[in-house]
Amino acid sequence: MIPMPGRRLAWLDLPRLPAERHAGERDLGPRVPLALWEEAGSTRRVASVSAAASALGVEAGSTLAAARARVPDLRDAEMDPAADTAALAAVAEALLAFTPSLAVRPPSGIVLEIGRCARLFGGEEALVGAALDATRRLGFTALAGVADGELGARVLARSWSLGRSRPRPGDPAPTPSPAARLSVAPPRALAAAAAGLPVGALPLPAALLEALEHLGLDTVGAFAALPGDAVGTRFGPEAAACWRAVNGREVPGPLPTFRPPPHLLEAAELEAASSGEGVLFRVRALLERLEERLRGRGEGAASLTLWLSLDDGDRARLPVILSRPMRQAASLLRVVRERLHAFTVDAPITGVAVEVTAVAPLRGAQAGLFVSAAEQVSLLEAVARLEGAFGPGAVFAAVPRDRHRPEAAWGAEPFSPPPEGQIVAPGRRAPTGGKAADPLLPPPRRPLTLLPVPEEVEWAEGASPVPGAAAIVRGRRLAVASVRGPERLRGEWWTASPYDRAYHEVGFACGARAWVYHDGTTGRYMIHGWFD
Amino acid sequence: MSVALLPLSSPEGGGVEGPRGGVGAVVAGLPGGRGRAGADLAALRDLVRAIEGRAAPSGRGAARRLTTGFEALDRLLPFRGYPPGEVTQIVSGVGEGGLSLVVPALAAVTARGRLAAVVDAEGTLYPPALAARGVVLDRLLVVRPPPAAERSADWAVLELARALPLVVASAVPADAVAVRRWRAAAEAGEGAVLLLGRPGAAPDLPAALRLAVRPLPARSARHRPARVIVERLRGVAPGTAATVDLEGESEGKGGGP
Repeated sequence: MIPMPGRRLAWLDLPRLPAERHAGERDLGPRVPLALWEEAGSTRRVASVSAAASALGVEAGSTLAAARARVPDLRDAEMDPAADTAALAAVAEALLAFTPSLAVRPPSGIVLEIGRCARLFGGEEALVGAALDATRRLGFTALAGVADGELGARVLARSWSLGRSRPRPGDPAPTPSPAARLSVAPPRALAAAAAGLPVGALPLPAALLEALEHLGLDTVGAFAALPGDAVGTRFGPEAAACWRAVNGREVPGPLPTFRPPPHLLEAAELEAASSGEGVLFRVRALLERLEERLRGRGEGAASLTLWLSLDDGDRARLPVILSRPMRQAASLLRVVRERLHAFTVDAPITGVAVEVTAVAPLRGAQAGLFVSAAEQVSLLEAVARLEGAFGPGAVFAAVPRDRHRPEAAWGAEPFSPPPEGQIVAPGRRAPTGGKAADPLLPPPRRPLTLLPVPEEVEWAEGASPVPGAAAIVRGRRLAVASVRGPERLRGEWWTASPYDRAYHEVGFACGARAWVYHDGTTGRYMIHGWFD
Repeated sequence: MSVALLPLSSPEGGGVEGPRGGVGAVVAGLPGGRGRAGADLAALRDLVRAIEGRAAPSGRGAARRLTTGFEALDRLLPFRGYPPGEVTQIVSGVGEGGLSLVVPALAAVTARGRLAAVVDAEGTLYPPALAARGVVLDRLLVVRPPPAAERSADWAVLELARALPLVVASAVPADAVAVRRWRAAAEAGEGAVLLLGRPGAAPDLPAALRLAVRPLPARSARHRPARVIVERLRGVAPGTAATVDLEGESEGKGGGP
């Protein structure tokens, strides 16, 4: 009997989410000191700071005036909680690549159920490490903890932002990952693992944490040693929940179903109005973010829309249709570059947004027997670039249609081949020209080229294509050597454009063969195609 | 028994000059081995024959072979087909069978499960006729560059040559620079580009192989004999020709100039 794995939860904390979101949207580099503030009565208090501002001593909670006094070239902006919530949801969307069960915990947390998925990634540490990498690619710093419960994992994650204390000798310390800020508490060992952490790691209101410190409770272990009933009575239900968690008594509830945001849209402002490569550089960053989000959804983009904000206040819209679902940013960028190549705007571009307007399932490239996935991707990219340059109607796969009228006997469809190397069933059958296929009769002969507009043939002698006659074709006098036919095609009398044609395969003495028809309506002979 | 491959261009001796000026290889070991060693020997013999212009690839070498579909013509050509990684120029008049010459190659490639493309610059290709001749339309990409497009048709050929084993460029205007680019792309993708053109159009293109199609009088309308003349190919005398029936199988053996 296979034992069921216990519940294991990972908490990802994005402590600088507002500042990093703001910086990413405006292409502010990591060295730009940035503070986001919110109104608190008559003062503006700093609510989120970038790593550069933090290094210069600006801290959340200080007044904006004090922060400016400390860092004169501090960039600042007002907090945008709605945008932060959307950004957190976008990160969670990307993390769906690691587990189907996760939940967003505003303002900066995401909790992931990883108990059953970890083995697919080589263990809990590997999974959460990959999730941290994905979060970093989206432009956010993240801290993580893994434990048996949500609160316990959160305590471990929060401890990274406080400066971690050394575990006491003999404690089963959480495993720190050198590459990422990640702590993993072994199953049923959180109490010991968290004992040495500062009490500030507990997710409790700042005033309550201050009160605990005033009581001399400077570590989580000291807090956990308090009598449980007294904690609930004196500090409230939040503290009681934390107490249960750090004593290993947390019973995590089921996570609500996470629904990805309905719109796949990424936008950025350009620091200086620009065009050309500067725009593409920003588009690339947006496409990289969309790639992560699409990977989380298991989907590829089937069509995109590029929005360009212009300096004159206008907006330009550039739709990009893709022949196959794609999500790799590099591939998408090549297609977008091709579309932009033929697109001109009248004013400098001040902002850019990429919206995925249609998606399709994309669970991974399927390679053929003889070709690699990379080769198939290169073909799909080539097709997409061609469509971008020539328009979607210029790149297609032909599909036979069972119609009598020769020019209507086929149509164009988006090129969507089965994987290369797959055993080929008899392909799409040749059209029978609208007639029921008779196995005893040879299929009707058709020329390899068909003229979009038939060309009239003039006969030098007589009025019919017979061997020995001479025809004037494109100004040249050609002697008829052989004639095959006629094949009479008529129909569609119920439409506005009926046809009545008698086709002949006319071989000329020079070796050329033409498909000539006598139009029963006009009485003229026309070349409709060549047996080239 | 193992077989070692040593470059011929050793300091002591000269080398065998390949079709592209490359250096051939020789087997240092006993010939006639079985198993993998035997297969290696067969592949090397094919390579030498190909260099000498009398190739008949077999074994692993046959996987890259791109048959013309005409036995008599294949016998004339190194690699027994269109040269892989190269550009082949095919010249014929309107309605004289140039497209008919390349359709069997398209049919062979698509029937093997590979993909192919036709860049139809004139917009006259009639796919039902291709299907009737065995081309799997599901696996055939057709590109019809609009006349007023920002990009040219030769760019489309370049894009596809990197990714597909066979690209037919029908009436695509091309110059020497474009053909060299196609060749580099085809070489990288181990594909082949077949350029169909009319007589007199850019006669000095640097294609590895240049074929001319000359129709012959037919005994009946069911046959379509043509003489396919090799006008340029390293290792084959210019003017060497094969007679083929463009409506069916090969008619006869190749002849001299």
